[in-house]
Amino acid sequence: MKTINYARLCALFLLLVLGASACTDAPAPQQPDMHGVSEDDKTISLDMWIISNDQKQYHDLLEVLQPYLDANPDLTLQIKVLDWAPAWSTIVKAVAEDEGPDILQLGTTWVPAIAAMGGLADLSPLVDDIGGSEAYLPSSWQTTGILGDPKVYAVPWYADARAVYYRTDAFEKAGVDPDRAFADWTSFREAMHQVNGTEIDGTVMHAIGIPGNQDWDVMQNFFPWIWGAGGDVLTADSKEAALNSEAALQGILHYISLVEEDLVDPTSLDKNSRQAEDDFAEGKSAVIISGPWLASRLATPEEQGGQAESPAAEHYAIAPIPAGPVGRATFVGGSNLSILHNSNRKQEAWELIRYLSSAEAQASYSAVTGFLPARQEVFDAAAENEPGTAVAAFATAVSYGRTFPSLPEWGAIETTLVNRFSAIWDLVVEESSYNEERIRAELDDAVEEVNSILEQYHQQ
Amino acid sequence: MKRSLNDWKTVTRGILRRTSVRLSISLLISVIVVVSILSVFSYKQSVRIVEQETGDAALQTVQRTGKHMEHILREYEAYLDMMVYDQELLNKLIVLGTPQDTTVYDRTELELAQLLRSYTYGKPLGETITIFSSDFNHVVSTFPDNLIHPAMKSGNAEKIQQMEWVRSLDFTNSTTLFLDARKEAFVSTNPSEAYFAVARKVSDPLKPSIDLGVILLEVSTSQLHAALDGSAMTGTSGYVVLSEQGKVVDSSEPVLESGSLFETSILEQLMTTMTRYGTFVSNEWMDRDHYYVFYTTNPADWYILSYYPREELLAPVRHLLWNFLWLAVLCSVAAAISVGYLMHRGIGIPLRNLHKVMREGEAGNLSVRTTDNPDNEIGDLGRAFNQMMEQISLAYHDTLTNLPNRRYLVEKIEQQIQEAQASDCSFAVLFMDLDRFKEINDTLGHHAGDQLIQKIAKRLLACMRAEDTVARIAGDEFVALLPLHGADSAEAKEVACTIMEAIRQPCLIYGQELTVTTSIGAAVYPQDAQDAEGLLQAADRAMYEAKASGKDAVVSYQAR
Repeated sequence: MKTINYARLCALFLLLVLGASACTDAPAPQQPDMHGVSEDDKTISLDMWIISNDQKQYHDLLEVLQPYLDANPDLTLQIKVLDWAPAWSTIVKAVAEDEGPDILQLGTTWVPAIAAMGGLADLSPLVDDIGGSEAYLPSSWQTTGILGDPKVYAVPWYADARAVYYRTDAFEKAGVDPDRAFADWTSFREAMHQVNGTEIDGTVMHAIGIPGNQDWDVMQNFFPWIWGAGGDVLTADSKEAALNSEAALQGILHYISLVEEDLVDPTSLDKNSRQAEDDFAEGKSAVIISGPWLASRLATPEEQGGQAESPAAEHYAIAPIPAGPVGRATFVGGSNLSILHNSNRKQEAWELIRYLSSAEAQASYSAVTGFLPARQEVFDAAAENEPGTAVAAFATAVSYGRTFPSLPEWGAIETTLVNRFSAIWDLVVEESSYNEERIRAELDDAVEEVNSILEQYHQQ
Repeated sequence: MKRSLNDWKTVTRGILRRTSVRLSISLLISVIVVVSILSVFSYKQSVRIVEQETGDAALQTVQRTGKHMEHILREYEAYLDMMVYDQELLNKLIVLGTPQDTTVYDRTELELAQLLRSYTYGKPLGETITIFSSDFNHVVSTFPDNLIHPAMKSGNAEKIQQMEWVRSLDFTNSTTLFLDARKEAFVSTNPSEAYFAVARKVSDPLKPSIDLGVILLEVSTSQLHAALDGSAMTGTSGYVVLSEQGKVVDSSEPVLESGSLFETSILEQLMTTMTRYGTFVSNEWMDRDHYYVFYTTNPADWYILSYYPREELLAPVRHLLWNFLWLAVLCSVAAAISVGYLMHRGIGIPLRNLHKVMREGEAGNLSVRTTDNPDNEIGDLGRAFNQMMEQISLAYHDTLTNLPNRRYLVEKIEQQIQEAQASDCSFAVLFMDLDRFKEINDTLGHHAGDQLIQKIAKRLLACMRAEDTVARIAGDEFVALLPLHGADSAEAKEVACTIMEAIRQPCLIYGQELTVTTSIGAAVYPQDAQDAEGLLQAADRAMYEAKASGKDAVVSYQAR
C-alpha cells in the first residue's frame, strides 16, 4: 500500500485550516493522455502459419512473396513459424478454439483431420482459378481432401520425396559401382559394407547416417523399408492396422540391421535428420536418405545459411531408394496451403495462395528451398530441362513414391506411429533388450492403439 | 482562613463582572468555535483526500496482484490446454476407453502414467495430475500415484460420484473449471495442506462429441500464497483470495481456513457489484470499519479482496487534528489572557480609578480630580469629570479662602441633621465674626482685609477636628459645624476656645502685625433649633451677645 506522506498531510491540513484552499476540491486524478489513438488504417492484415524446423523457409517464403507484397502495399503479412514436432497439437488446438491464422500450411497427411474438424474453408469453387486437379501432381492432389469426400480443402504447395544421397568420391575410392549399389537391398547392403570405413581427406566415414528416436521424420524414415518389404500401415480397406504383418516386420528389421552391422555411427541414433544431414555434409557418413532440401542446402553458400563449402557439396549424387523384395518405394510428402474456416479475410487469403500456386512462384520457391514444385508443369519442366540435377532425381523418386491414406484420424495414428518407432529405436540403442520379439511386441502395441483409434472414429 | 462558598461565589462574581474577563471569555469562546468549525471541515477534507489517495494506491496494488494471479491461473489453464491437445495423451485415453485385453490395458495405463510424469518435468508448480474416466467411474491415472484419496483408491464409482466437488463439475459454460480450495477433498491427501484444483474435460478434438475423461490439476494453496504474499499487501492490511462462490482459497490471515466460506455480508457486497474491481467500506467483519478493495480475475472469476482498517488509516489524520486543536486552544487561551490583560490595563484600571475619584467627589471632596487621563474615551471621561468638579466647587466654595460657602454649609447642616436623627447624636454650630475687621479693612484697604481673611481661614481650618467643617458665609463671618460625641456642648466650647486662641495670634499683613479677635455664638442641635436656618440664627444671636458682652468671647445660645 502506498504510505501516507505525513509532511504532505500536515501541509495540506494547515493549508485547509488557513482557509486558503478550504473550499477547493481534492486534486482530481490526472486523466490519461488521449494521444496515440490509431488512425483509421486501410491496411489488410493476414496471418499465416508455416511449419519448418529452421528459419530458412521463412526467409525463402518472403523472398518468393516479395513481388506480390510489392504489388500489394496495403497488405501486412504476419508469418509465424511452427516447429514440425509440436505443430500438430498447436494446429488442432487453434482450430478447436478458433484461434488460428487466415492461411495455414498443413502436412499433406493432416488435411483430412483438420478438414473433418470443420476447420478448413471449402476451396472447391475456387480451384478452377489455379487449374484444378489436372494442374498438380496426382500424388499431391490426392492429399487435398478427405477420402470419399469430393470437396477440396487445401491446395498443394510443394512436394517432397526421399532418395539416397551418396558420396561419389567415397564410392569411387571403395570401388563401388553406384549403378549396382542401389538396385536392391542386397546390393545396397554389400555396397554399404564396402564403403564403410573409407577415409577421405583424413576423415574415416561410416557407411550411412540414420537419425534415431529424436527425429521428427522417424515414421517417414521407416516406411520405405516397410513398403519395400510388402508391409503397410493399414489394411487395403483402411479399416484395420496392418503394421504387425510379417512383411512390415522384415522391412523394419532390415532397416535396423544396418545399425546392427556397424554401418552406422552409434551416435547417429541420438540425432535428428538435420544433424544426420550435417554429418553427411561434413564427410562423416558416405550415404544418407533425405529429401530435396539437402541438395538445396549443399548448393547454398554458408553465408546464406547453406553448406556449399562442405566436403560433400562437390562430391555427391542422388540415387533411388533400393528396391525391396516387392519393389521400390519412397515416402512422398509435402505441404498444402489451406484457409481457416473462420478467417474473415478469405478473399485476400485466397489471392495470396493463388499467387503461391502460380507457375512462377512455384518455380522460384522450388529453386530457393529445393522442395519439389507441386504444380505438374513446373515439376515436368524442372525434371526435363535439368537432367542429372537433384530435381530430376527427385522427380524420379516421386514416380515410385507412396503416401499415407487420407483419413481424418491419420493425425492421431501418426502420433502413435511416431511414438512406437521411437520406442523401436530405444530398443535398438539398448542392445540387451533388442530382439525380434520385442520389435514385434512394439508393433502389436502400435496395432492395438491404431485399431482403438480407428474403432473410435468408426463408431456412431 | 477558609472562605465560605458564598464568599467564593462573590469573588467569582466579582471577577466575572469585570469587562476584561468577560471580553476575554467571549474572545476565547469565539476563537474556539471558529477553530472547531475549521478543524472539523479540514478534518473531513483531509479524511476524504487520504481515503481517496489510499484507495487509489490500494486499488492499483490489488489490480497488480490480481493480474499476477490471473497470470498464474492462466498458466494452469495453459498447462491443461497443452495436455488436452496432446495427441499422445488422447491416443492413450482412446485406447483405455475402448474394450481391451487386460495386458493392453495395463500396459497403456503404465504408458499414461509415464506420460503424466513427463508433463511435470521442468515444471516446479508442485501440482498433482489426475485423470478420471468421463463418467467418473474410476481414476484412469494419477501423478504422483501415491497421492490418492481413499475413495478413489478403492475404485468405488458410487463413492467417487458422490463427492461434492465431483457433483459440482459443470462444463456447460466453460472448458476449464477452477475449484475451491479444500483440505483432503480432492485426490491429494496431504493433511497439512489445502489444495485448489483446475479441471478440464478431455474430448477428442477431431470428434468433440467423444469424451475421453476429465483432468484434475491440484495445486497446493501454499504455491499461490508464496506467489501472492510478497505483492499483495503490507503492514496492517491483509488480503484474501475468494472463489466465485466466496470460499477462501488463500489468505494473509492464518485464521481464515482455506475452503471456509467468507463473511456473508462482505460477500453480498462483493457479489452484487457489477464492476470487475472497486472499493467499499464495511464494518461487518471483525467488528471494525474496514476499507475493501477487490479485483475479479479472468479466468476463474475469483476475487482478490484486500482490506485495511479504517481506524489505522485515519489515525495519523486524527492525531494531527488533536495536535492542531490542542495547539489552537493553547494559543487561544494565551491570546485571550493577553487581550484580557491589555483590556484590564487600558480600560479596567482607568475606569476603576475614575470610579474611585467619583466616589470621593460624591463624599464631598470637591477638590478631587483625575490625573493621567489617556488620549481615549476614558481620558475624555476623566476630563469631563474634572470639569464637572470645577463647576461644583464654584457653586459650593468661597473663592477667597477656598472654604465651603453658605450653600454648602446649609446642605451640610441638613445632612448632619439627618445623620443625627438617625444616630441620636447632636452637633454644635459656632457662628464666628471677627472683631475690629471693618476697622482694619477701612484703614489698610480691602487687600489687606482679604489677606487677613485668608490667614484666619487657614487658622480656623487648622483648628477643625477631622469630622468638623468650617465655612465662610460672608465678609468676616465664619461658621463651624462640630459633631458632638458627648451629651453636652462642652467639647464645642473647647473647640471655640481653641479657635479664639488661634485667632488672637498676631497676623503679619504687608509688614504690619495685626491682632484680631473673634466673637463666637454657639447653638446646639437639637436643643437650640431643629433646622439649619434656625441653628444659624440661634448661633448668630448668641454671637451678637458675645459681641455685646465685650467681644473675644464665646456665648451659647439661650432661648428666651
